[in-house]
Amino acid sequence: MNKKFHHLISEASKIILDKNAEIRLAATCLLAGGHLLIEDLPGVGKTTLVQVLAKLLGLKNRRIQFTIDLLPADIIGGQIFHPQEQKFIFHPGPLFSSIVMADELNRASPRTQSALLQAMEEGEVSVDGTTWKLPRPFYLIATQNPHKQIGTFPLPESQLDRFLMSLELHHASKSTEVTIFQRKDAKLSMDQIESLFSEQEIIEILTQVEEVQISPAVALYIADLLERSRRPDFEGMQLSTRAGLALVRAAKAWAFMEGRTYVRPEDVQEVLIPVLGHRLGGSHGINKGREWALALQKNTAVPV
Amino acid sequence: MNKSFFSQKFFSFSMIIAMGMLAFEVSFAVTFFCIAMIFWKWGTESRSWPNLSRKVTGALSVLLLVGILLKYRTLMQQEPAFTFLLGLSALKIVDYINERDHKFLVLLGFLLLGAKSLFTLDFIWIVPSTVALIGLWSSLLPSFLKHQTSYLIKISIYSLPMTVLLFFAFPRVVLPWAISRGGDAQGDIGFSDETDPGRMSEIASGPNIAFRVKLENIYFNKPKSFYWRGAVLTFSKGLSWRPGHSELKTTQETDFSKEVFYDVAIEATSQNFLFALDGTTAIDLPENTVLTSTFLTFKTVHPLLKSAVYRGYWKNKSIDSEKPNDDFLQTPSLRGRSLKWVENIKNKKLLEYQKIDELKKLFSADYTYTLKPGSYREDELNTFLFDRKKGFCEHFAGAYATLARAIGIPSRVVVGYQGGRYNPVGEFWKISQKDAHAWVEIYTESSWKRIDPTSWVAPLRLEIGGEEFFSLNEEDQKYFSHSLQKSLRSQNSVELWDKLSFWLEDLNYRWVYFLLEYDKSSQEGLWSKIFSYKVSTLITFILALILNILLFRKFLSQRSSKNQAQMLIDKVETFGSKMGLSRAPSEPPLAYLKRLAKELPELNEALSKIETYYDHRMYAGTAPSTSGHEVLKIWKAKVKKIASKPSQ
Repeated sequence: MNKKFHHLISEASKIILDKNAEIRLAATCLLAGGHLLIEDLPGVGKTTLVQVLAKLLGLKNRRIQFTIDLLPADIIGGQIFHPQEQKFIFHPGPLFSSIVMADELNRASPRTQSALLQAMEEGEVSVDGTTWKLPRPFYLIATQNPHKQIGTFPLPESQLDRFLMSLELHHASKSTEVTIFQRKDAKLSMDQIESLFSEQEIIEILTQVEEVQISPAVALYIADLLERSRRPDFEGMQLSTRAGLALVRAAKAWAFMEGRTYVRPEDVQEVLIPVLGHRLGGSHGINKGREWALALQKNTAVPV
Repeated sequence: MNKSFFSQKFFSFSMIIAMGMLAFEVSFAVTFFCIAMIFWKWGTESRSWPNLSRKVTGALSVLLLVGILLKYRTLMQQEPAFTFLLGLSALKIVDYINERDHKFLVLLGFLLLGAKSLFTLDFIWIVPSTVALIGLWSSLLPSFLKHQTSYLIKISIYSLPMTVLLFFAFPRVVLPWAISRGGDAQGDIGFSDETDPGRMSEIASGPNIAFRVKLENIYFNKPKSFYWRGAVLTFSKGLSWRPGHSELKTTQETDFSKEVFYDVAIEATSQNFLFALDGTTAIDLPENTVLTSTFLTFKTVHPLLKSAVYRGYWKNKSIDSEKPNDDFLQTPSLRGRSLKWVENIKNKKLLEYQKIDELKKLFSADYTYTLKPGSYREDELNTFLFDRKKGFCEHFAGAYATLARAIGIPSRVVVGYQGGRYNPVGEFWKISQKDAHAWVEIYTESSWKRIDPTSWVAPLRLEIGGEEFFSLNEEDQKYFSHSLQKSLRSQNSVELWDKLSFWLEDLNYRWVYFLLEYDKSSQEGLWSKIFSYKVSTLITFILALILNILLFRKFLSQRSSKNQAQMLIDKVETFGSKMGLSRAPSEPPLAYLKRLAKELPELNEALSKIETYYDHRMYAGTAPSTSGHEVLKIWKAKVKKIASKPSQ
């Protein structure tokens, strides 16, 4: 694996214990230039994960706590009248930073959720007819509570599709918890973290990831996966071409982290569940989707 | 996966070449149909015209078959076979949509090329055939393989020894149906032993070559003295003549080896005539019995169904001095002016040589020598002799001989060829259909002497040969036919085009000669030196068959479009499943190799080699450092070691 990424993961796992795989997937998602959705109960370390990653990658991060009464202007920003200059001036909202953590996204009203759509897809927002570019890179890391909690608005499928990956952070194991309880507060040690990358480097990495090669065999494998999901005997949602592209991007990023310039089917399999889980689940929830993604992987032959 | 015909440029090009080579041999309607079908396919692919459904094309092919069977009553001849193959190919091109169609079309392409080569030995066809063959082959190669040329070369090298072996050792069977040219009884040469007025000029209008001659030690420098006897006609019907009775006997087994000889390479004629230089005493044709007639003409027992080479033995003067009976004075009853002329000569009570002079005088008058004399119907002799005065050699010969008989000189008409064109490059003579000729032999001074009435009418025709004569325009023909000083085209400076055509002709001749020369007898000669021909043939046949099967199997295994990396994994998988470690379909090959390496540490090295190879080849798209063969060797060696060890 690429040394720098190895370092990143080992640094991150010093603070977030026992979550190596998730850290790695989250980093992959960011390298692929995609947005991340984390679904889990409160208090399992979602916020910490995001903060640690942002710090290590050298990116500015903001956090928006979503509530039912949060309005689009609260996150995007708005025109405010300046009496001295006799004109409206745009005040950017918290969305204008490299990593935006949208906490409990599914507590917000659908209107506010959809305000994020343009930002996620195009990297810019429009206010009163003027378009404002978001910083580049721009990542949205959203967390959401499990589906059936009271007072949630489930994200529509179109919006789910805009997240490259969805992750689950399970409860820590008992022994890990014992360690956590004994050590210093994670927040204190977070201050000592030094960033490993600069914003410029991240932008370069993004272009390098784009250049990772996909051989015919691997492309065929991804096409086979999509085809399989469209068969009548498959329970989950049908996968779109965009889902396939997401898989390609994620697999490329994974291969890049491994220090390779080409993708193997293994890379695809590594990112398959997080990339396809929320896409396959639909109204059945991400958990069900992950089961189906696993079934899809098991039932699709790797082209030899 | 759908395929489009025209997007595979080389393949479609080859297919069209293969079809084009046959298109000249079938009727125009069929050619037009094929062009229309190909055009339609082009339309559907690039102009989104409606596609013909398979039902329609299927119905059309059935119609085609029925039509051919109704017209020709067989599929076993050249034209019906060509028509069927061409039509089917065109329809299949319209159908062309997937891999199966592709394979079928390639097969049809091979058949087209094979059919063409079966009927034509011409060298010229080799070039387009080779191009088309390569095109068809290369379209079958797996697309993953980038080095198609090297692959093709490899295959050619593999097949080369077999081709040579087959050429030298494959039993030569004369297949009548294979060479027969269809319903046309005349054959390609169009020669027949009857001289109906106009029949000869019909032959002479054809552009085809009749035969080629290599003179070994006979020195001729002018086509004028080149008279090739085909048949002798003894029954006069006035202007036209028919063959009479003649006795045929086999050539005596004498030793001709000391005699002067010449070799004739003749195209398939489907007839029995052999053309012999005037003065030939015997003809030697392997595989066929040659009969000699009393008129010094030669015939084969079996018709010439394929091209052949025969050798003629020649004496400078072999005089036929057999005294003719009264049959040679037979004429139809003459009428009108010709009767008057005959009576007039008879009344003069002339000597024989004077009579001959009179005949010469008659024919030296203002006659026109032309290929298009018009047809003579009623009272043909008088119309020709005294009214129209236009004719081709057979008219002059026929009329001359009839009149000669009428005035008491025994005579006969000889048909054959006269003249030819010398090829200085290959040092052989080419006698073409344009050289078809007829002349007269009269019995005088106790031997048969050749009289050529044409020589008085158009001496230039005899001087320069038919091919060159008819290449002049009609006015030039008229103008020059009486003058022997031909200065129109200087004979000394051979133009560039002529040189080129000589060179091409020579190449063609050598090729045909080589193919023909190497037939059964020389094959037998080669083998009899080693051991019995029959046994050797059987052995070679079986050997060739086995080789073919092996090659085909090899080809098929390549055909499964697997590259070496994939085949390596196949091998490992086969081995793995024997060891109880099979791969689930969803397990990536590399992961499987790693798992195997963990389970079978003694194979670690070989497996990691395979892994690297596969990874490079399949995923990275770079050339692996070790070749697939080497990796396979290492793997096989390791596996052998394990297999030889007793299982724990």
